[in-house]
Amino acid sequence: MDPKDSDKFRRLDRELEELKNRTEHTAQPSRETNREAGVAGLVSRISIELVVGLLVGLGAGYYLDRWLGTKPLFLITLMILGLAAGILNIVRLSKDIERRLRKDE
Amino acid sequence: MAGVRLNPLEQFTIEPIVPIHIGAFDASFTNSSLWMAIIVIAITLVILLGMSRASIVPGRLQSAVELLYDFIANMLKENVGSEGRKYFPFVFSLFMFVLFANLIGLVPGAFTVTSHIVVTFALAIMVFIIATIIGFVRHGTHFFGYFVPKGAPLWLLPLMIPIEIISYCIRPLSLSIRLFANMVAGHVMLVVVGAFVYAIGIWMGWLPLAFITAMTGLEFLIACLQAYVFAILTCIYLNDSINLSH
Repeated sequence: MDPKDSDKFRRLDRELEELKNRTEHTAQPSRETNREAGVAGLVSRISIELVVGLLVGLGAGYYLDRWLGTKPLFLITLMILGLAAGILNIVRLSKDIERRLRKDE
Repeated sequence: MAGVRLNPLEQFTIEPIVPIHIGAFDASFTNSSLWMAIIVIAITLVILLGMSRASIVPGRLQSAVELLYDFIANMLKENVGSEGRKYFPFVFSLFMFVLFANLIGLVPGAFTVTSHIVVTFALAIMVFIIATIIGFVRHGTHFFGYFVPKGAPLWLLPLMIPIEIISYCIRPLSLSIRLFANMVAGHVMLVVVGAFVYAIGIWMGWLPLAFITAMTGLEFLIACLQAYVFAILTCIYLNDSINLSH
């Protein structure tokens, strides 16, 4: 190797070391924000999950009833099932949130 | 009041720029199409410029592009595992499109394409169909086993299986409604509070002005957060189809 090149590499090494020292204390909070962003993403899903489950159950039930003339059989059963599906999704979501909070502690 | 938009929903109107009619379909090139084209061009430019002078010690734009790449690569690794590497281009394109659509939509005067449920639902149903096809291709009829919860007593199964199927089928709806509702709510709030500044005038108008400034910051957070949520849910759905786990 050219002595000039190894000089360059040594300088790069030194600069990298300096940069690492300078950014080390700022690296910690960024991980903290990452975790919080992840949890915020999960939490923001909760409300929508519940509403969509209920609405899809209601909508599907209403149209099935109109099609088959079984009013209000499917409206009621599918509404309850849709609500249950929404709650099931929220239970899974909460488990995800808990796991995420535990993992990084 | 002339020239000031006080109707908070006016910003979402779709106007045809080049009217195109194919049979009974209205396939016009609209302002929405125009902004989608701008988004795609912006993404291409950012990535090409960021990577054009690839160096070991990256510049600002290059680190930004590398950061985005790493972000999605790690997301796939954590949520799907090594099998997920194949789907990196898919998730990365989705994430970049939603992120740029949300962020470009915050530019004053710009059109927010993700504020229309047609757009977000098209993206979500695409994710849903692709994940379902992957599930059937990889597992065949075993994929139906996904709907049978493990460890549930036998007499509960007639109740649990319909619930599982519904909770699977509402995914594209919750995925699209979440993104669209967040975008619409944010942009409506910005216009309403902005109208307050104008209506109240110079005496107290600075109060809503301060509020709108803070809210714009929050909107930037929501724009990024919703892109993140969209990408991570895509990963989770892919993981369910690939590894058949809840």
